[in-house]
Amino acid sequence: MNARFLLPLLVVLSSLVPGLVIFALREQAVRTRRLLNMAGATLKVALIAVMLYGVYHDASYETRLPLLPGLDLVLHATPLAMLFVTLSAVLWFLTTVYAIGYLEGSPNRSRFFGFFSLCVSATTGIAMAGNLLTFVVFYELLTLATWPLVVHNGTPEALRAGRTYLAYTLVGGVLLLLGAAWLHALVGTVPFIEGGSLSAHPDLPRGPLIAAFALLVLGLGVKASLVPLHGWLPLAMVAPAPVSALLHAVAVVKAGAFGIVRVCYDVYGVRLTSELGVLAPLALLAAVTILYGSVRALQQTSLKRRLAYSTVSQVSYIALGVAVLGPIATIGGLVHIVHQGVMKITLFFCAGNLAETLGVHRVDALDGVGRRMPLTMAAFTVGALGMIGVPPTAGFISKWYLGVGALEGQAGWAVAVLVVSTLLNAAYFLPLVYAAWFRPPPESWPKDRRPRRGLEAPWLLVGPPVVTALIVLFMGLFASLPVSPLTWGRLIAAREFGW
Amino acid sequence: MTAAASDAALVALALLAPLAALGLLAWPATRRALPFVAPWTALPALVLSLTAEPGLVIEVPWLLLGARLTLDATGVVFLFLSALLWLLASLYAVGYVRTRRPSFWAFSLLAMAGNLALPLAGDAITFYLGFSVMGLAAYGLIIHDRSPPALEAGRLYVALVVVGEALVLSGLLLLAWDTGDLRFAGPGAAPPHTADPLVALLLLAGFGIKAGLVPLHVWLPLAHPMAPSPASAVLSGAMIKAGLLGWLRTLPLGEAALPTVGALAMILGFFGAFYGVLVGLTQRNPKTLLAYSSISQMGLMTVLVGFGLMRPEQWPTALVALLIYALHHALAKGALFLGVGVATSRLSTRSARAITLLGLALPAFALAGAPWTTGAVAKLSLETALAAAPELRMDVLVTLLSLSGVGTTLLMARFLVLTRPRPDAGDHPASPWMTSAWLTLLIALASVLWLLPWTELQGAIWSKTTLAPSWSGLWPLAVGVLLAGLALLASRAFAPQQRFAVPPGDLLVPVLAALRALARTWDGAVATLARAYHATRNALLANGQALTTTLTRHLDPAEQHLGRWRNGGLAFVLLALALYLVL
Repeated sequence: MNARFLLPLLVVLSSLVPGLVIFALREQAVRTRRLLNMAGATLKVALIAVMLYGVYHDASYETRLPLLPGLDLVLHATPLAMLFVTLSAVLWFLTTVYAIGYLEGSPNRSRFFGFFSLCVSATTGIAMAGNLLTFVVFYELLTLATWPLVVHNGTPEALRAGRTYLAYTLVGGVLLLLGAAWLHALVGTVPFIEGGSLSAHPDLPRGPLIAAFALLVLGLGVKASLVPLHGWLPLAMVAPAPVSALLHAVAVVKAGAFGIVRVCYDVYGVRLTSELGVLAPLALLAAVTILYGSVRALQQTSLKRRLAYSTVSQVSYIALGVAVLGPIATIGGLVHIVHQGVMKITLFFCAGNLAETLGVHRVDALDGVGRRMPLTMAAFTVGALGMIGVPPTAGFISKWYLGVGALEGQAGWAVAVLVVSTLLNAAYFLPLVYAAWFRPPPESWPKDRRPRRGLEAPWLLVGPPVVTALIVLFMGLFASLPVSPLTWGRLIAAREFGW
Repeated sequence: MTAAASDAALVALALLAPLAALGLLAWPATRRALPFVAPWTALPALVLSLTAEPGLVIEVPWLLLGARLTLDATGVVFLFLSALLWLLASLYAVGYVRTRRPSFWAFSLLAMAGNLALPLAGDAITFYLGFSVMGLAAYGLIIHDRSPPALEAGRLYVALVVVGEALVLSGLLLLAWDTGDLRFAGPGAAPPHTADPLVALLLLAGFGIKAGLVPLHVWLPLAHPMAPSPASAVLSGAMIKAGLLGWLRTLPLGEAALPTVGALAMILGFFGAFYGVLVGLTQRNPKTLLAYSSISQMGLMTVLVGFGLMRPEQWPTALVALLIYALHHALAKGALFLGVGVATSRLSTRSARAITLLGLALPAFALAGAPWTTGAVAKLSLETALAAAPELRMDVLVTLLSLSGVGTTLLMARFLVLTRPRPDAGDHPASPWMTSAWLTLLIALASVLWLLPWTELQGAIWSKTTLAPSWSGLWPLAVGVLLAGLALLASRAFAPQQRFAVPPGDLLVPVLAALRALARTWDGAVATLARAYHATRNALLANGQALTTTLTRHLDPAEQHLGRWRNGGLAFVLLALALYLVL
């Protein structure tokens, strides 16, 4: 038992334990709950900072717990794991702050924060999973922990969304499990190894490998909301804003995308996927999703629904980066895991602020909100420009690497997809920015909960989007610094391609 | 401090000063100081352009994807013209802009920061960053008065900016992949050029939107005049040149021949040169007329770029001609736009009106290529550059060039007639900020080519041109003045009842009408499809209803029960733990 063994486990426990304690708390124990939440979130960020430093200097952290004979629960801090786990920890911290402000005075907060913590524990487990089995376990746990959050409001609409969510994700989970079991039957334990663990077994039959790949990717594609498996996501936006924020940025959608990354790089490996020819269909699926999601987003009049379809489109950038063969596209896909997360969480925080403070839910009711909530809308503008991919935002870095990577991978058509998506993103985000800043505000808002003095809304609600918007700019402007996602993306790609 | 270190500090100051001034927007008290701080943030860039050692290269490895800042012979001219225009236009704006000041200065500073970064950008990413920031921020200047036509022009502008960015991005991506290096100049950089015609076409079109390349110019006559006069001056003087600079940085000029793309650029350029004049002549708003004149003048510069693509070995002379022309046009067009603002203020004395008219006449004559002006030098160097390739029948083109000079003379004559100060015009007197800034720009225009510190251009100017007016330079002007006089007499004599006028945006009007018709057809088709879809869906749903009802009856109570749980999570965890232990 040493630090190398304990750290990954502690990272998962740092949210799991507070979550369990919170379940047992009385509803009125606001301060204790707040303390637990913040302590857990802070501890997790600190633990991850230590691991980041270590991994950057080639240290290795692994927790291995026996589950069944021959079946280990493995948590392993590789650079790829660190990319995702850092994202989830930092955004969890900010979302916790936001959720505390957002849910102030609303009922069932113990239930909410309990599941919220479970949800993040599952996500960190997914991030650091060292083999396919561990991944599947945490993946299913995530499905279950998220459902109570989706239906948190208890309205008929929320219940319906929850039902759809469960139907989709449970079926996806079954497909994933089938695929995983099949691979298990073929080769035994399937660890995640850079370059692909299946490459150690050269004589596997092609047919089952392709079938298992299809099952795994389809199962993961449900959460990653690849078209036509995306139906649950736009409905799930009935959840409270902090949940939507986390759902779209880190937890569910990103878990699916991250799973696709794991399967392609660490299970099959670059060589095997290209030999099997399974990447072309995935690339096509991703391209269709990118365009379809953007077109649908353009048609939405509800702000959160528009953001939801935007997620459908943007998360497939990751799949596209994976599906186009070559290190540069890989870097593009990997950094977009982080970039999309931070940009999208900014937009959802802002949408939540508008709904909570002004009662604005629709895209045609945004006239003049920039005047009333300048900080929120400034953050929103940065997030929107990031989604379009305007430099110096993080979105530009993703798009640049994906574009050059597409050319490297002989997939010039993907550049066209990216460009068309850019235009569509501009078409559905710029009118909102325009309305917010340049249209005259209405006589009165549907409701107006301005604090008596000071900021445009409680600082717990304004702070998080402002911070994430600054991170979006930082990740773009200083993309070449050692702490940037891009540097990590390069590090990971170098290992996956065995440079 | 060593020379290099002080240059580096100056570069940092030039780039960051406008951004730092944005910080003043944060508090109402500091906002009032903006007009007195903002203009001066262009000063470091101006000083830099006049004092920097040539060949400056600064590596900034931590910025973006590894940025490089350079100042070469091309960049220094563009930096000078941009910084000078921004400085003087901003000073002018202190007196001119009376409404929405915070908004004006915010967008103005952002656009300035983007624009000043362009000549210094030593790699494609930094250039693209400046280009985007400038392009988007200019939107706020165009819609400054928030009137319906301004908003309409702004919408069109943004649409074309986004399309332009997409084209430029595609071009740069291909460039990056073809050459593997995005650094424009300096040690260790293979110039990022490729002779792929597709790349050249993408970049020609993408930057062409900014440069007013016909037929992508449609936004320009709507948007440039909408902005307040000082903003029009930088839009038409400096920001339009960003497109040109983009071409100079990314096209394989002087390295590889792209005859087809080059010929296309030359044809479009010449076409634009005449088209701009002809449509401009029918305009009644002097600022719209000036915008069309910009399209015409940028057309001539496009001709040179096309020439460079066709004849790489002639590029060094063509580049010098282009730099002189860009500098000349920037200052003259800036002075004209600033002059419009002065001429439309209240000028109560006859002498004030006379002086203003004189001040308008100087840049107008310069643009027409009158002797002893920058225009004469610019035209002559342009002709010399083109005449250097006789086997391409450039002599014909030189004649065309002279004809376009006739056109510009006519256009400027019409401008002076439209803009001549009237005793009853204007609500506000011209503030001293405006008149002094305008006067400074006029002095700069009159003296710039003789005072330039850059020996390379100086040599070119003095070796090719003399102060004595040449016949080839003079006859277009003479013919133009004659024609203008005749036209004036004719209009007095006949007083035509109906005026022929091309609506600003020219081509756009039929294109938009066609698009609207298309959209109507499309909507009709979509509506029909939607009706069919809903009919089918309802039929299917009716059958599925029974099944759904049964399911709902069983599931809903369960969910509501779950929803009532206060400590449902505890049970969930116990369940998970139990499962784990059993396993």
